[in-house]
Order: sequence, then C-alpha cells, then structure tokens
Amino acid sequence: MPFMHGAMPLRRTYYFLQQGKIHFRDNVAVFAMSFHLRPKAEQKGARDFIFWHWAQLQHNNPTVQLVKHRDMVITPFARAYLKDGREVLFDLEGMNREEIEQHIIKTLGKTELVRKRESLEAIAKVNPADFGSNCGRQCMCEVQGQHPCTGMIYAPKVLTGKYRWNHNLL
Amino acid sequence: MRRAIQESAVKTDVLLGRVVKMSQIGIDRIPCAQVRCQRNEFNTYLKMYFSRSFDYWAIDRGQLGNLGDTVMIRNIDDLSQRPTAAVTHKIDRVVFQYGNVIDPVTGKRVINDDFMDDIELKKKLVHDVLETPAEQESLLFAERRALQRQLLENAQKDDDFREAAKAIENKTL
Repeated sequence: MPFMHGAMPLRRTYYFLQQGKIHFRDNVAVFAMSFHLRPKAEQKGARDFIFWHWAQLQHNNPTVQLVKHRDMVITPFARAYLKDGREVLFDLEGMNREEIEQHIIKTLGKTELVRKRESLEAIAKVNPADFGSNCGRQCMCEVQGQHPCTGMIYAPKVLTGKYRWNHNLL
Repeated sequence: MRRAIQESAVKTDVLLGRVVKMSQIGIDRIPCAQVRCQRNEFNTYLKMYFSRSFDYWAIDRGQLGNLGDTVMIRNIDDLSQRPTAAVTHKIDRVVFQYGNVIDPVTGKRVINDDFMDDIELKKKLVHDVLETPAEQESLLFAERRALQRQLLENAQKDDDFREAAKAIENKTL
C-alpha cells in the first residue's frame, strides 16, 4: 500500500473500494446522509459509516449522486431519492455502522443473486469475436493468421483496393 | 492538466443542490434559480473522491425555491419545454428551507443543535423560576433569591418531574 498518508489509508486502495457491499438498485438517483463531526453516542454510527464506506459507495455506484449533510439536524438520517420521485427515509439514531449497512442493503441494495445474474448477462452480451474501439482487440491484424496491418507493412499490390476496384483506365 | 482525475459519471436527471442565484427569464418574468450540485470525482493517483460543484439553471414556475434553500432539481427531457437553452432543469421540491431546517425523522424544527420545542421549554422554565420573582420590585435580593430557590424546589418536587427524572436514570424512558 503506497502513499500511507491520512487517517486510514487502507480506504484508498482499489481492493478496499471493490469490497463495498452496497450496490444500489437502478431506481436510486440521489443518496443523502446526515452526520455530525463530533457525535454523541447515538450519532456515532452514521459518522463511522461515512468514514469507512462513503468512498466504497461511490465506487460501486458511479451514477448515483452522494450528498453529505454535515451538522444539519440532530437525528442522523439517510434519505434516498428515487428516479420516479419517491423518497426512502432511514432513521440511523443509535445504530452502529454494520447495522446501518445491513439496513441499507436490505432496503435499497441489489442482492448477491441479482448481481450474479447481471454479470452473467453482461458476459453473454459481449461477443469475443468482436474487434474495434470498445473491444479487447483493436484491429483484426492482432489475430494470428490474419494479414498484418497495412500501417506497418505495404500490402501486396494484388490485394490493394486501387488495383482491385478503382480502375482508372483511360 | 488533470491527468489523474476521472470524470464523474453521476447522471444529471435528478440532483440535489443549493440555490446560489435567483433570476427571471422571458417576457413573463418566470423565476428561475441557479443550483449548485456536488458530484464526486475520483483521483486515480490518490484513490480518493473529491467533491466538485457544478451549477445548473432550473426553472421554478411555482416559486418553490428561495436563495440558500436545498432543492431537488429534475432534468427537462422534452426540449420544447425548456424556456432557454441554458435552463436545463426544473425545481422539483424543496428539501431544506434556508433558516428553517426541519428534522425529517421527528418533524420538528432544529435551531443550532437544539429542537425548537426544547428551546421553548427551557425558556419557559427559566421565565417561571428565575424571572417571575425578579419582576416583584418590592423584594430585597436575599428574599428574591429565596423565592427563586423555592420555585425551583417546587418544580423539582412535582410528581411528573420526579417520575420522569427517575425513569431517565433507570433508562426506562
């Protein structure tokens, strides 16, 4: 772990970010959480959750807007705004961070089964024979047995376009 | 040069933000607000998220939002509905009003880490115990002090108060 600066630099590793358990449902557009910087005993869970899991949350849900409300109200709460306009309110007073995490997963998270199915569907969609800008192989010339790229080597004249089709015969 | 910054992929359909500017557009002078919304950007070198704010103009036909309010804005997908090319969103609802923050869980107003009804209760208690004797001008200082202590003891001796205090100590309340 390079760059061991900061309060808990473990949080700044790809391994840790991918360990996040909360994958929001496609419905969720915005997730806002209120916490306190110097919390009382009941407010501590929310602060811990944000310390450990906020970056993981954003990493696993790149399309969701995460908003922090700092020292705004007394009860720590979390509120999710869905795309159709509904709100889901969580009261986080007295819960510790594991409880908060489980509560959110149960209400708004994708289950393991759903995630597995989505990953399989994603694999099924991709054709490994494709080549191009968004694929594994950029050019057909990367495959063994195919003609090399004409950017590297001149093609034999018999195979050039201007010989085969473009006959500028007077 | 921002080589290490990965752009935010947050969708702009629904956003939460703060109103930073109010204006009016059109001949009808329809009010609209500039809303500052945060989107986290990932720094691939530090592997940390940093919040960066973007401003969006949102139209506010019902005059829901005021300066400083936390509002939720929604994208206007139908391009013909947009009053100008710059105004891309509309204000959906006000989440927190500036100066009048209401705790969503309890429904009570919060002023500086105190519920409003707590503040009212404290004010009333202080007035009843401390200030009502002070209003009687004929008393000397020692007499006034004695009266205040008496009122405080009465308040403490009150049955409901004692039961509540006991329950709080035993953690049953």
